Amino acid sequence: MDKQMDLLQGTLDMLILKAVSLGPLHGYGILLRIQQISKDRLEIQQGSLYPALYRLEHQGWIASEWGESENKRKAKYYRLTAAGKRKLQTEAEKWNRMADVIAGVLRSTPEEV
Amino acid sequence: MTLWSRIRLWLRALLKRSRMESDMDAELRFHIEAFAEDLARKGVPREEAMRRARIEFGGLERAKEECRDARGLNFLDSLVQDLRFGLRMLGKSPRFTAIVVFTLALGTGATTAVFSIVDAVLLRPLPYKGGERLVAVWCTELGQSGSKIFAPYRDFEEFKAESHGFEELAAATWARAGEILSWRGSPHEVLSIPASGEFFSLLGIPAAQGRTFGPEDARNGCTVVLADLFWRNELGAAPDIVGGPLTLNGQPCTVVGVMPREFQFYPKQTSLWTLITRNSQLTDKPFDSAVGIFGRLKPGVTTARAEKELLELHKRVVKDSPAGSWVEGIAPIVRDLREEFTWLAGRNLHTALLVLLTAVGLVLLIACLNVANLLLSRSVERERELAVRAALGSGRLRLLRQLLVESILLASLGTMAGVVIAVGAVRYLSSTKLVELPPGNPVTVNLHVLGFTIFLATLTGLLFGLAPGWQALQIDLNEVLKRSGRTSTWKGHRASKFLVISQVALSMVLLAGAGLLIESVYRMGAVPLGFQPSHVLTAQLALAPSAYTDLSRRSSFYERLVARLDALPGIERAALSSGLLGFEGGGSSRLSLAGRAAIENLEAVRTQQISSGYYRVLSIPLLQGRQFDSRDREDSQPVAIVNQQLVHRYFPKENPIGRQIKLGKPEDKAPWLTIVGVVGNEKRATVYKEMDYEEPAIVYLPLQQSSPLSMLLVMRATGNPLGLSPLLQGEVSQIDRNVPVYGIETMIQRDSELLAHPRFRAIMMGVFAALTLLLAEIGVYSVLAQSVAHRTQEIGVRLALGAQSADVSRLVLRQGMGMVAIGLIAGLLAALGLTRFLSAMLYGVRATDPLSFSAVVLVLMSVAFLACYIPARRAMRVDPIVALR
Repeated sequence: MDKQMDLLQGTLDMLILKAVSLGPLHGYGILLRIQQISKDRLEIQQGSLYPALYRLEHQGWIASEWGESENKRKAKYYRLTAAGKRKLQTEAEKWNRMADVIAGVLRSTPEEV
Repeated sequence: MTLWSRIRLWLRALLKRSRMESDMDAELRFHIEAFAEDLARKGVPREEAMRRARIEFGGLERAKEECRDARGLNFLDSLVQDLRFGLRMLGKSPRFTAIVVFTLALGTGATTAVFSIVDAVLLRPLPYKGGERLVAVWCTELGQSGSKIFAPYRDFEEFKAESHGFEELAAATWARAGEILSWRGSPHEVLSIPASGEFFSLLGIPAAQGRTFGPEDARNGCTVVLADLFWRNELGAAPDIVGGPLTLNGQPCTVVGVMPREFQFYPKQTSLWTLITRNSQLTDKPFDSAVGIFGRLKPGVTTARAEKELLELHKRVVKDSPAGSWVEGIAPIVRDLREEFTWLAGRNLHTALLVLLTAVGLVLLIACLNVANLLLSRSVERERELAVRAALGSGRLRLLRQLLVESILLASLGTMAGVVIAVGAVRYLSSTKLVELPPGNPVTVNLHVLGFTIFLATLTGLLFGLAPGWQALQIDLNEVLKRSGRTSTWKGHRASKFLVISQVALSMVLLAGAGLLIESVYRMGAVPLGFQPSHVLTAQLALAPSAYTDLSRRSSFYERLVARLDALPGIERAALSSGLLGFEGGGSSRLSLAGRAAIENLEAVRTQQISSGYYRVLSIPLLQGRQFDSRDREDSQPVAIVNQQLVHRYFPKENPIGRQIKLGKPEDKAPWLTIVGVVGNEKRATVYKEMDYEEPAIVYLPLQQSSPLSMLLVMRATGNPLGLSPLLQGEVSQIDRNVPVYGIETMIQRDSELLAHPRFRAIMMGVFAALTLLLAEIGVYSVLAQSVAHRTQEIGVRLALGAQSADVSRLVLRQGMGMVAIGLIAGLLAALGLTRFLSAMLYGVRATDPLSFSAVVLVLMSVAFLACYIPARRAMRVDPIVALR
């Protein structure tokens, strides 16, 4: 699929958790990481990234601290907390189950019904 | 995440607010710059890269706002912001703020003050043990519904011994005249209340000093417990009073205790309580002496059930009673004690308080409507500000909240000022004792009352804040922003009109009520009472029974006293009477006419012992025969003077002079009295109804032939009657040092006491009605003035096209008076329906008295005309050239 897809409602949180699960990242880094692993197929509104980060931090799933970026600038880095790890796991399972079910439904042929 | 760590995070966020803000700025800046650098690396020029980065990011401020929201900071934060902004807005228009706060302060202040009375009198249980289960047991005379009299002492004995519905029963009686207490040689007139041994334990109040009655006192002679007020004011708060001896009516008594300062029972002015012991008057003649019975019901027992039980017990008492006793003609009734206290304080007090609370609630409502109106017109002025804020991204709800915060701020300020007013009013009320309030709970602005006030404040804040808030939600951004600042669609108009019409209607209701009450007081006060009260001074005096056992000693004292007073230069004439004019109640007795059977069940025939000058002092006309004079002596023929009412009832179309009557049955031992004169009637207050007079049949007896120990002294003064008061005690002491004079008042003062309650509520209603009238007229004026201001251009066009200035003013007047007329009609209809709740408080007018209503309409119309005339004049003076430029 060449066209970029809009994010499904509620999936941004999961993607952020996944992105930071691979190592601490700053906000811009998270954006790049998601684009990179989705092979640029997902469109993320930059403006909505930060409110999501703040919300996740407020809920205790990610933690932040100030560090130095690749080009020696001060940047805020986010990492996954233990609670965040568990959250990511359950969310991923839920997502997969859901995807299976939906896929199954869509695969069904008239004879099966 | 635990709740605690969440709160900690939140608190940290709150405290380190500015740090977080700069962090957020730095983070977002970093993002945009990093993005721009990436673009630059791809060959986009630096300037262009920054621009594209910003555009890609989207609304920076909105993102920030959402970040703050995400941290849960925003709500509180914006509330603080709203508050600050609100305060600044209010500070910017101090006149507006002052008017609103003042209006609200009057409304809440008055409401709080009235509610604190209602709370103390009608809501809170009496401050005694099991206060909500305390009852009074009266007796009602069969065939006279609504009558309440004391019960025979024998009933009390029977109830105490046999009833099961009560935890405790006690007796006390205040049906007696002044007594004399001597302490350290000086006489004091006291109100002493004989009470049974259970009295204080029933109420569950211990003494502040010493103790209350105990079982050991029953064997002793006379035991008394003092009231704090009497001990402080009359006995100088003597520290050694407990255990000390004093003399009550010549009898030695022991003081066992002094009650706490806050303890009160009916009557409030009680000086002391004496223990009813085994061989007192009450216990010796249990069928003939009357007492009030008070009890605490067992939990779950209703007054109806208790009444049923007592009725059965009373039947046993009747069986034991001597034949023909008054006990046969009565039946016990059980009533809630607090209700009875209220009834005793004022026959209509309960209703009057509810009426006043309703009235003051209406005042508050009108005040709220006025404030709503002011806010509404302000929100029209602020339309542009609100529209600009909405255009810049403020949510409508946020705007609504801003307006509500402002309203609540105003309400809080108004309430605080109102509480100050209420505290002042309550203090004033309790210090001046304008009206008698029942004993029990003192009237104070306590936490209970404050809770009510805070509830009111919130309610009013919401009430008057909603209208302009709703208005703000309706703003059409395009419309408002397109317009120049000068004109605005005057959308608030319809809402304002509605508010003003309601105000006029409510004001009409209160004015009608006040009009009726005021007219009643006026009419009741203007009724000729049958005697001339001006220049008359009255005073009480009481003789000690031990020193004045026989009739001749008493009458010689009285004769000497009258002679002394008659000789005083400031006194035209002095006389004595056993009765208190206009106040005497109860006391019916059988009347026999010579040659006819006794008249049974007659309506009260009163007896009154008087000295010969009585009719002259009070200017009561002698219609037939003669007055008492020196011919009437202890050993001469027993005589009586009767009034016209008695003649009218029992000697219609006959000459009563020379006829003989007897107070009692024909076979009784009492002497036959020969009627020697007939005098005019005196009007007297009735016992069971407040707004009424009765003209009882009275039999007057000469002092020489029958004189009681306690007398009322009446004197007609040549000048100011109160000027005589310092002389009185001296004159009496010249004859006997041990006779106290007390209760010195002019007859006018006495009469006005009779109208204290009606006058008080009429004044209150009048003040409330005047307030509402003022508020409503301010409402009419401000709506019209606003409308004229908004229509300046239109008026200018009319004038330019040839309209006369009179036409313009008629236009405005018609608009204003139209609103007033609608409100007036609505109010009139409401008033016609509501005033019948006042009927018990009216005298001489019907609840729908057309005259009274027309007067009120006239007052309202003329004040309303004034309120309309000022804006109309302004409209007339519009200069078309200026208006159209």
